[in-house]
Amino acid sequence: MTVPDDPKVPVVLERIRDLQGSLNRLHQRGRVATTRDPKIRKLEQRTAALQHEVAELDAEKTTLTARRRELQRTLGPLIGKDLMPLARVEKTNGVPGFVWGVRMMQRIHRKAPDPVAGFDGAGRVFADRDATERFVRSHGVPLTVDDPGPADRRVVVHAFHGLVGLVEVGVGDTARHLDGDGADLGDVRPALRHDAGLDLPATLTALTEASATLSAHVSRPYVQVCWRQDGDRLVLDRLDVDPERVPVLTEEQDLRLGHLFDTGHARMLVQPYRAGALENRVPGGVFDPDPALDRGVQA
Amino acid sequence: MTDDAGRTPRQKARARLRRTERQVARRRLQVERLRAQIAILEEEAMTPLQRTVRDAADPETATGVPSHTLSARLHRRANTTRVYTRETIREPILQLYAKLPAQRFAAQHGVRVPEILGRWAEPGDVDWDALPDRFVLKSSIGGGGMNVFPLVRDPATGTYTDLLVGEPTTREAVLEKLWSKHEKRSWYFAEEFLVGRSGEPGAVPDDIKVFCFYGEPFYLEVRRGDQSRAANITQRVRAFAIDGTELVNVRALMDPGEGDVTAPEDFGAIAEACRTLSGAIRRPLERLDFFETDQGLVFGELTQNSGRPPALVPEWDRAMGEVYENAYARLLADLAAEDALHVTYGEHGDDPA
Repeated sequence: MTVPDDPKVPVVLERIRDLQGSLNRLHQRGRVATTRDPKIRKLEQRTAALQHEVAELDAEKTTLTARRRELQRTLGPLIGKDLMPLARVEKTNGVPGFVWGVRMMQRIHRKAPDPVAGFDGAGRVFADRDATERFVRSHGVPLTVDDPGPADRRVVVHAFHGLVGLVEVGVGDTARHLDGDGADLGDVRPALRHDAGLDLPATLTALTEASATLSAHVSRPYVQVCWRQDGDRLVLDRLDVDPERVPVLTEEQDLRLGHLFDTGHARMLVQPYRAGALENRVPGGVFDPDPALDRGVQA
Repeated sequence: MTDDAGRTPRQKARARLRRTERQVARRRLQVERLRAQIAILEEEAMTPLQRTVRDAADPETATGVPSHTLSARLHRRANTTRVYTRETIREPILQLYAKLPAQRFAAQHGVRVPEILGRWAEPGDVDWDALPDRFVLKSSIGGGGMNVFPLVRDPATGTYTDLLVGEPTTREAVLEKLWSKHEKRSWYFAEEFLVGRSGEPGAVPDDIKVFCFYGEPFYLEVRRGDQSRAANITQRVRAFAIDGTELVNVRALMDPGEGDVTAPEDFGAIAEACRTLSGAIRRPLERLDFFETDQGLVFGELTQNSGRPPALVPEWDRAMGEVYENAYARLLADLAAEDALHVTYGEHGDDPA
């Protein structure tokens, strides 16, 4: 009899083999004690030991199968089902992640010959106060704004290539977090004590807009634009393209900022794309799509 | 004393032992596969944030570890959720999405491609009488073998066999299928019928799919029966590292099937072709597909985002993620060296403060 090409057949065959194995073990238990041939006894002892292993493996299989099903149930809602089929896992787009994305890009830039500078040299530019000030001035952004406040006040604008996702206003070990439109996010960051009563700087909108402008000209998907209180003014402290601390927020907020990271990553590629640096290479130049030869190229 | 089959008790005892040994081997493999599947699913059940910070004492300073799955999905989302479109980027790799330009690209790099026997604007234009007895009729667009017809003509009757599904067919039936998937941008062509290395003349060669990272191939799969149109044929897969090491239960969520998929013979040639082609595509990852024939390696097509970015067991996901990040690092280095990636200064000269 030939076996048809049915994907379920191996499963059925496997089940039949399992049942055969169970029957064999049953028969074997009746035989072991009856033979007096030492060679047969040895073979049967070895067989019995292996059957014991089969039983243990069967028990482990049962436990593992239950755990796998539990995980498939956990993943099911991602696709609107009770259970995530194994073959479907690879077809999902996954979800964006803010901290994941930022850390990935940091790891990549730290592989540069000068890890502080990164491949694009941005880290070196912003490690130099004069170079930073030249950059800021060149974009018509003020380095200071008049805004009296507590001596240890700080504002960190988390920006994604022109888009502000998070504004952190802190005094000492307390902070308030707002989204890019200025909406208070509440207590979203376990590492900092949330203080809903903290006064916001009067110039916060201007600082946020200035930070967005600066971030749009940094060749990274994400940058922290940091301001600090200096007397009656808020002063641009630094642009940090390789921050040691990245805010760990609630899952909901990490996902929201993850979407902005995806956009920031795409925007980072606009510069080389417009320069033609992403074109496919062929000996002697770049690949030239020829509509006459290559009909079928995506519109 | 013997049984009905003439076996002595010792022979029977040995046979039982061998059967049990096979049972143990089978169970061990099943348990190993389940463990690998659980390891993958446990990662999948965590958010990217959880996968990055894990149990770090200070989560805000945790730097995380590479992951191919998460990285590949970043690029896939950029294409499939229109992030690039919104940002007015059309990735140049998409110029190679269709089969004919991809083959022209490979040929320009000196990689062998199938000979084109004819090309037509519409299915109805196909010049059947000008084609040999064996050929492959394709549409320039579409994946998963939906628009691929490896056909063999019986000279005596003039009828065809569609070798993808192993069934007889007719010109009309093939044309009907092509028309059903026809798009304005479609183009049709016939190419030489490739025969797998040491294979039967009528056998469709196995697909070799190599996951490449800006000049560095890392992981490959050989697949047989992997065509959507051949739904009644069980897919069989074997996976290898680029050095030829076979990987079992690494991509554990995909059923490898059972059967006789042949391992590639010339991993060196595959690696060389991949280094050349992948190194010429300014992107940190893509998949390149080949066929191995008696005439050598033949390029098939490339995919910017495979339909299923492979979910590997954690140690391999991390290893392939590391290769991805190294590739991205090389790409950024090249872009920066060409002055195409840098901080941009504005045109304001004076200090507005």
